[in-house]
Amino acid sequence: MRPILKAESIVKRYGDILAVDDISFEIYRGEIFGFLGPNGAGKTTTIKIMSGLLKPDSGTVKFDCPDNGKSTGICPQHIVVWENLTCMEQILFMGKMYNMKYDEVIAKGNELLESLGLTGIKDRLAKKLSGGMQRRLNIALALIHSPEIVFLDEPQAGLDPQSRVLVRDYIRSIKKKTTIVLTTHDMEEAEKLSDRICIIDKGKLLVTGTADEIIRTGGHDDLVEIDFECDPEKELLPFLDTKLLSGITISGNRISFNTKNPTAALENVLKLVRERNLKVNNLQSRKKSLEDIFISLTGRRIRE
Amino acid sequence: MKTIDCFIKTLMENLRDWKILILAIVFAPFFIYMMYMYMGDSGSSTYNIVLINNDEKGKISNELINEWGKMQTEDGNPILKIRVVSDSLNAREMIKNKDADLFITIPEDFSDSFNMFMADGAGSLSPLRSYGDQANMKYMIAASFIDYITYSYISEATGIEIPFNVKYEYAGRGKSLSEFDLYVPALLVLSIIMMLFTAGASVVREIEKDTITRLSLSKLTSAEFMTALSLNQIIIGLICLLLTLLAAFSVGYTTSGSLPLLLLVGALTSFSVISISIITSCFIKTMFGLLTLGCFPFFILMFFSDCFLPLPKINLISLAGHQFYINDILPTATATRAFNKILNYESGFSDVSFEILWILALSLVYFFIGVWLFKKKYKY
Repeated sequence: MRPILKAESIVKRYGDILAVDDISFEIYRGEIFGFLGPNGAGKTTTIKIMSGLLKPDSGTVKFDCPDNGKSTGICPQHIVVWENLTCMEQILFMGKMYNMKYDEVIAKGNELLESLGLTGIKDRLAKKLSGGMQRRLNIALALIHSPEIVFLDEPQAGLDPQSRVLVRDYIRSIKKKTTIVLTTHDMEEAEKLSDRICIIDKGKLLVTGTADEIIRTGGHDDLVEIDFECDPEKELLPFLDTKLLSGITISGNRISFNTKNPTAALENVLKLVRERNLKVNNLQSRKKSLEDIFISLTGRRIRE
Repeated sequence: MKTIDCFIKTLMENLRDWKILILAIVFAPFFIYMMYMYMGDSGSSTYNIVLINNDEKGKISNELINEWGKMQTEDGNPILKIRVVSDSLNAREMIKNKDADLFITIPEDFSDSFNMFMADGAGSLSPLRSYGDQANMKYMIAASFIDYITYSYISEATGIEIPFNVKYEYAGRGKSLSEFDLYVPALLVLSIIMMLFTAGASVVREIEKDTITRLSLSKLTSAEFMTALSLNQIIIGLICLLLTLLAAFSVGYTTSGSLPLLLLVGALTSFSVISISIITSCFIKTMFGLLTLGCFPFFILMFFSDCFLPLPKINLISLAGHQFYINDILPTATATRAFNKILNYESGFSDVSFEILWILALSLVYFFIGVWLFKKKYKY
């Protein structure tokens, strides 16, 4: 598959801070490329560089599309709308700024407003819209000119559940025609929407691949988590047979470990629990999720 | 085409965000009414004289005071407003407080000395004493009037004709101008200087809301954006100018100057102020910044454009027979001069062609600096 965007050895510094540290990746035509990373990881800086809003200190971003990346769409993290224009007025304005014909903008604008649930308020000034409506308008403005590639920086932040579904469905529906680069804090959303995901932290690219490929990098082990009433570090760990276990971590009253044989491992643990008369509040054994991998790679939860 | 679309969009935004627009439009007409209330129709031509007459019973001193009081404007209003006081300290205090422009003391033997002179044909009259603040422009004018009337009266009364005379001729439209008349061109320039805020708001709003990002990514160029903004603001500038002129007319100001010429200079001056505003906006990110830091260029334009404060003329260069003063780098300084010529001296195009060219040249320089700065900062 031919990449529509190829980023090579991108570096960007803000004074002493290295925001993007020599990252390279490719984004393929027609895919949804999820960009994951904790706050301050360098996602927005990378998106700004890709969209042409920021010049990298070194490295290149190459596009393989007719306009050479000059007509990318961007939906920034924060709401960027003209408060004193109505929804339709700003859609019409942006369309014209991309040299679209009047009829073309109206048709595309109506389609976008319909898909994003804004038809009923298309003649309302943006400043009189709710936060969620403004966010949906934010997305519509990024897509009015049918860009070949669009950067959606946390498009679902601040949306109510119904709007999230609406936006998610719309993103899926345009996937065939538009390549989408998506940053999100929502792991589940990223897993559901993205064809491929890249995780960055502290400006470095940690891993790229499909959600399954990334999860497999964490091995095929199951993850077991047990919550105790007591401190497992004192009451359980010194007596535990750890032959079947790996990656044991203790956080408060919770013990977590990886195991290839969850049945046998749990039998051992529960036997010890009964012998030592310990009280278990909660127990779960599950396959590893993207979030687990994310935490193991970055050492922190995504919202931190 | 994109310029027109951007122009319409900016115009709609300006009309909907009416608070700054109203402030800009109303400011100068408000000043017109304030100035009129302060100066009045003829107030600017009236000079306050405080007088101590130590020769109250003398015929000559009383006749002289009468002559001073007779001096009138074309409208029949007295030029010298004479107030007789008895306390010299009080009179001096009035000069210090600018409650009076000139303090005259007539000596006790003024009439007697006159009579002796007439009888003997020798000696001289006891001198009048004049006291005033040299920093007060009105003092010099009042003193000149007093001197002129006094010499004329004494010359007539003594029959001694001074072998010298001055014929007075008024510049421009053939009648004397009140101080209010002289302020009108400056207030028209002030109405345009207010564009700093509306034009600045149009740019800063895009920066503050980050809609500039959308515009940067679109096919709209910085020059197209700035041109649309300038066209829009020029219209607002001309509306401000006309409203200010109408306000002046409503309080009795008259002119036969050319309106199209006035509008041409107004449009060019608006363009120059907008260009300065674009440069300013490149260093400001919020509306708060505009309304605080933006006051700096506003005051520079207001105070160094000969609008209100008479500035010493510091010569910069001389080109094609025209002197360029240091404050001529501000297009509004040249505009004040051009408006004054058009309105108060009823000058035609050829008389102000140099000013028009100079404002145009400065406007283009500032505009291209503004576009360059804007492009450098917001259009990668």
